[in-house]
Amino acid sequence: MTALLRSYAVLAWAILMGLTAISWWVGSEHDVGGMSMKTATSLVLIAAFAKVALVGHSFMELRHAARPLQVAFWGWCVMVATVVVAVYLTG
Amino acid sequence: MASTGAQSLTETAARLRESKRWIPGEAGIWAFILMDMCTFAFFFATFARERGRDPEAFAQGRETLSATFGAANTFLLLTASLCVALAVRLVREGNGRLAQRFLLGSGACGAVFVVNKVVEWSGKLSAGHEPNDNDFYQLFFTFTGIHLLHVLIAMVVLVYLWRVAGSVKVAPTAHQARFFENGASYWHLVDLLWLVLFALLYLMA
Repeated sequence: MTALLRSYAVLAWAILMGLTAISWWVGSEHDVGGMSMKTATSLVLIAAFAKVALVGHSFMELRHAARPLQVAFWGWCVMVATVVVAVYLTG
Repeated sequence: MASTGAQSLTETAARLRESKRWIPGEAGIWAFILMDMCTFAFFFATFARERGRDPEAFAQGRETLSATFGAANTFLLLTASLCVALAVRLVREGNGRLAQRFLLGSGACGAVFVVNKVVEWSGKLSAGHEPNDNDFYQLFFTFTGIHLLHVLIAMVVLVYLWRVAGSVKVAPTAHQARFFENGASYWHLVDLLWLVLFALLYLMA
């Protein structure tokens, strides 16, 4: 059990939970160091896709996977994050 | 004590994972996962675009949502994913029984997610917010609805994973390991799609 608790999956989970909590807080429109709403929201969106990338790396074990699969998955993360943030900022 | 056959199977699997040519589960599940991610990518872009066209309606719509509900659901799915990931590891080690306990954990998280969703939706509907009210609610109900279908399917997948785990004694056969990895990958898909939906629907200011 101890080995399980010290596994990469648990570490990744803790990071994902933390990022979720932070995003939730930022998204609740607390004054985040005087950051503009556009900046804060963009960061929340980028964080969401970073979390997806981490889910892929850790839970889905893509860190061990064949290169084409890694490219497809993380490529999706980068491309869709870019499109969504771009549409948001130019909307 | 692991028989030579089972041990070498586990070793082969471990070597395969280190070879950088490995595909978790089977190529077919990844074809599905990537296709589903692309479909949702289109949903995500559509939401962002429609939001830009009617920022007031979307801001108002967002106000009626509870970010707490959204965050709680995110925590639930992340935890469900963790339990599934740990179950995969346990199955590989031949510990089917403990893997089943973690799968029950995933099931519990998934069940609470479904209940939360029903509560949230009925709250919206009884407050008079319906899918065809405006673009925000149409997209909200459609996207969370399609995602909910994914979750319900995931719960069924969990039953099969539970059964496979139950029949793993010393080490999984190659077929059992692949099946388990397929099911686990699907769970993580359900989780990752929600990570983006949460940010888009609940957190965009």
